[in-house]
Amino acid sequence: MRASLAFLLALAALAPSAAAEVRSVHTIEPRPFGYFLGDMLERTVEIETGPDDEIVQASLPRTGASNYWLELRAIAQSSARQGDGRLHTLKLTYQAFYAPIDPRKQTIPSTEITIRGPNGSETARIPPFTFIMSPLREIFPEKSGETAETFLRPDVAPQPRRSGGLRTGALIAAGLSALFLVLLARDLAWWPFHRRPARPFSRAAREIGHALAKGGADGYRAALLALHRAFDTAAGHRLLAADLDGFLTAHPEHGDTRSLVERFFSASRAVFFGDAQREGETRLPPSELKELAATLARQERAAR
Amino acid sequence: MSSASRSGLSRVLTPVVAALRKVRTPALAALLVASVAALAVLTWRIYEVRRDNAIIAALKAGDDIPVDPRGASGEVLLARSAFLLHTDRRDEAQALLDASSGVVDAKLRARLLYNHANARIRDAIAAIERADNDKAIPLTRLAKDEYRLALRLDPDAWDIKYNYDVAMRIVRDFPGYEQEGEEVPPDAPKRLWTDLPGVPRGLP
Repeated sequence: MRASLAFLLALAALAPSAAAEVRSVHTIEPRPFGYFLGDMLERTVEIETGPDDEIVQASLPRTGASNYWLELRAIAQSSARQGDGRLHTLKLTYQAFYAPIDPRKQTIPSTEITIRGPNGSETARIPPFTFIMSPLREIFPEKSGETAETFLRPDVAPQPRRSGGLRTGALIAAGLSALFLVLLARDLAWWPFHRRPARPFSRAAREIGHALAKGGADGYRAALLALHRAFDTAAGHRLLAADLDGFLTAHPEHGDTRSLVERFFSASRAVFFGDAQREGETRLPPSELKELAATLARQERAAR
Repeated sequence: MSSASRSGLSRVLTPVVAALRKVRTPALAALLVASVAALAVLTWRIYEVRRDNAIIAALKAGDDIPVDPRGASGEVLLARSAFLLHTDRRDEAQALLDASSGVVDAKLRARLLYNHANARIRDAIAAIERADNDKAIPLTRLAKDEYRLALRLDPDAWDIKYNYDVAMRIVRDFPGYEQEGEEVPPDAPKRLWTDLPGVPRGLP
C-alpha cells in the first residue's frame, strides 16, 4: 500500500511540468534492520534534473533534531553534469535515539526539496525510509539474577596519556637537529671541520677576528698574515699581488671583490715593506679588513 | 644520444646547483633553528604527559589532587572526575563537567559525560529504592541528556548505548508513550522493574 503510494508520488514527480525539470529521484538506502540506540545511518539521494536546475538550499532538511528520537547529523551535497542533465547527490547522515523494547519498525518521514530552474521551480520528494531498531538489554533482567549494580555497564576507568607519537617526533627532531648542525658546521668550517682545506677564507675570517680583537700594530699584522695564508691556500701556491689576475680567473667567485682585494695587497705591501704602518691602516682600516675576510668566506661557501 | 641528453640535463642543473649553494648557509641555519624549536616543543609536551600521568596515577590511588579544569588535559579531567564521583563529591564533579566543554577529544568528553550519567543513574536507583520518585525522575532525565550528548560525540561506544537504553527504561522520555500500546509479554512478572518505580532487585 505504502509502496504503491510512493510509486504514484514518484510518477507525479516525473510528470512533465513547465518549470524546473526533475527527471528522477533515486535513493541508495542502508540496511533496513539491525540498528541499536545511537546508531548512525547514511542515506544517499540522487536527484536527476535539467542541466541548469539547482537545489534551493533553504528547502533542504536542517541538521539537528528531526523529532524526539531522530537527529540529522550531517548533510553533504555535490552536483555534477551527467549527459544532458545534472545529477545532484545528497548524503544524509542520521543518528537514531529510539530505545525499543522489542525489534520495532521506525520510519524516517519523507521530505520535499525544491529544485529551481531558469523558469521556475519544482519539488522533488525524498521517499520515507523504514528500518528495524532492536533493543540492547533484557526486558526482565531480574529473571537472570541481575541487580541494579550488575545491570549497568561499569564506568570508564581513567587511562594514562600516551606519548609514543611525541617520543617518535622528538627522536626525529633530535636526529634532524644533529644532522643540520653537522652540515652547518661543515659549511662554515667550524670545529671539527675548521681545518677543511676548501674553506681557507672561513678560517681566516675567524683568525682575523681574534687578531684584531687584540688590537695594536701586531694584531693588524697578524690579521694581514692570516688573510695572506688564506690566499696562498686557495691559490695552491704563494700568491703575490702580481698573480692576482690569474687567481681571480681561476676563482671567479671572488671577482666582485677585486678592488678591495687589490687594496688589501697594497696595504700589506705598505705595512710589511714600507715603513708606513699608519698609511696602511688608513688605506684598509681593520673593520674593512674584517669585512673583506667575511665576504671572501661567504663567496667561498657559495662556490663550493 | 645519452651523452647529449646528459649534457642538456647538466646545462639545466648547473645554475640550479649554483643557486642552491648561494643560499645553503642561511637555509641550513633556518633548518637547524626549526628542528631545534620542534625538539624543544616536543620535549616540553613529553614532560607534560609525564606530569599528567603522575597526577592520574595519584588520583587513581585516591589522593585528592586539585586540578584546574581550564588548563588540564582531558585525561586528567577524566581522572579527577572519576575521583570526585567515587568519593561522592557530586557538586564538584558537576562543576568540573561544566568546565570541560573545552576538551577537544570527542571520545574523552563522551567518557566524562558517561561516567557522570552513570553516577546519576546509580543515585536515581537508590532514590527509587527509598520510594523517592520526585528525586529519581529529574536525575534520570539529566542522565539521559548526558548519555545522548555522549553518544553524539562517540556514536560507536557500546557501553554508552547500553546504559542509555537502561536509563530509557527507568523513565520514558516522551509523552504519550503508554498510548502507543506497548505489548506486555505473557510471561511478564507482576512487577515490571522497567516501569518506574521498579528496579531490578536481584535474586528473590
